[in-house]
Amino acid sequence: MTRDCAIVGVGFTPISRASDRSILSLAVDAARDAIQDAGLAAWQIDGYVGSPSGSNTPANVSSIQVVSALGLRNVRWAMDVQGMAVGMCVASAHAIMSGACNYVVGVKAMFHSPRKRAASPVKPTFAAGPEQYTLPYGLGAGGGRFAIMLTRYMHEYGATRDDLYEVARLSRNHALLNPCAIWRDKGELTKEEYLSSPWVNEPLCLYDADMPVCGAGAFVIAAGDRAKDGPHAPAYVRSYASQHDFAALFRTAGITPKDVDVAQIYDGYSFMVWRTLEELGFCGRGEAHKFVRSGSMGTSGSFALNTFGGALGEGRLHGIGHIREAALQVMNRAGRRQVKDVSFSLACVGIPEMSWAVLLGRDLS
Amino acid sequence: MAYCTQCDWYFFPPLKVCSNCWAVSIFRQVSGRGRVFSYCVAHKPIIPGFSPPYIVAVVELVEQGGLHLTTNLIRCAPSEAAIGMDVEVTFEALTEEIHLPQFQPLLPASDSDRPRFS
Repeated sequence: MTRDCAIVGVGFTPISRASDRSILSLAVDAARDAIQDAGLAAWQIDGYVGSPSGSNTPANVSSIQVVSALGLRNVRWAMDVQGMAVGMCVASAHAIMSGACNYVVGVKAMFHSPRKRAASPVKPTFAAGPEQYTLPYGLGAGGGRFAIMLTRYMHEYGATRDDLYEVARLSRNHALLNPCAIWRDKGELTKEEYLSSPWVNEPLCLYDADMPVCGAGAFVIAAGDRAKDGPHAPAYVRSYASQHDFAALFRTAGITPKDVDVAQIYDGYSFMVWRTLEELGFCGRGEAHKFVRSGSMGTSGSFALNTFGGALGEGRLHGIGHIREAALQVMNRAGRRQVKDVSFSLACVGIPEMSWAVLLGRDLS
Repeated sequence: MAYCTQCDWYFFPPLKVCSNCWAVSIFRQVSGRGRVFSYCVAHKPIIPGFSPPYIVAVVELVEQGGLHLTTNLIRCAPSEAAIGMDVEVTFEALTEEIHLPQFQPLLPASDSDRPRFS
């Protein structure tokens, strides 16, 4: 890369099922937390990227609102990103690499209104764009399309719900080690609980879906030459890639998937983990269900997966937890969840048509 | 179905130009037959106007491998749905103005000569 950059601070708010706070105040809290964690002051922040959004309400907040609420007077570059947290991280890296700014604060907040039942806003009388081909058939929120992919996957590769339970079980176990997680004190998810939970879109059940929550997370990315000035070891951005060419992630960094010590793979629905592990090349096509089951994916294993509990354990924050954990692991700050001797830490977040992966390294090269 | 006469290739959703050769596409009638590629059973009343449980299926049309569309599988119990089952289109009248192309299990050969598109 022409100019290096690194994550130097992270911040988070408490995560709850419902909140009487506004999405803006959640976003501000997380951003302030991240800036302080990086040992910086408001005047030093000259870049902003964010996507605070409602999961079932149109509670979107623009960069103008967040930047002015935080009193960031020196912001020269700002971008509202539609979508998820690793994409925000990549946008920040681009801005720093181009020389547009030196310190970017990235904020993702989610708000879920308890007054509405649906997981996502649905306009029953209107469908446009790609939705015009799915919504008239009752395929919308609730992971229906992942359920359809899962049915096919099970058919082709012989995977079972027992196999998928392993994804949910792993996340819920790791959530017990994460003080932020919505499932932090709910105990283990037993196979009986999992198999007897209600269907959402069969073959996906309730525990295959992340829980909509209210909360926010943030990170600060700094230009490489300034990254060492902070209070923590930097998490260097070694490479990134989109779903168009995930292999670029490893090619650019000059490593193979085997060199990755710990990975945070987006799990809005459990099945996405299988799909993404295969797309990233951690295992072959049709092998992920066996890979997750046979491998030691815990924090003491050779390849640790979703060590903070993933979205299934922490709550639906569209990947900001994934990027936070990826950074903390490589900074050696993950506490009880810390994987030993992490050189390379990966986060991959998104849906099939919009995914990004980022590789963080302990060293610059 | 959108179809490219240059490439002899159908595609769905329709595009004005073929993504392979950029020639302007046309619409061409297809048989309305296919096979269930995959499906799920929706159990939650998330979308108004639907009564769970109902089947959302991806059907592969017989004209071309990989020619997939999302639809409902109707007149079929969720427990009887299966990947690979033969299905045919049926244009269901939702209102006087709106007809939605959905799919149903293919009738036995003796019944399948009846006209469907008139």
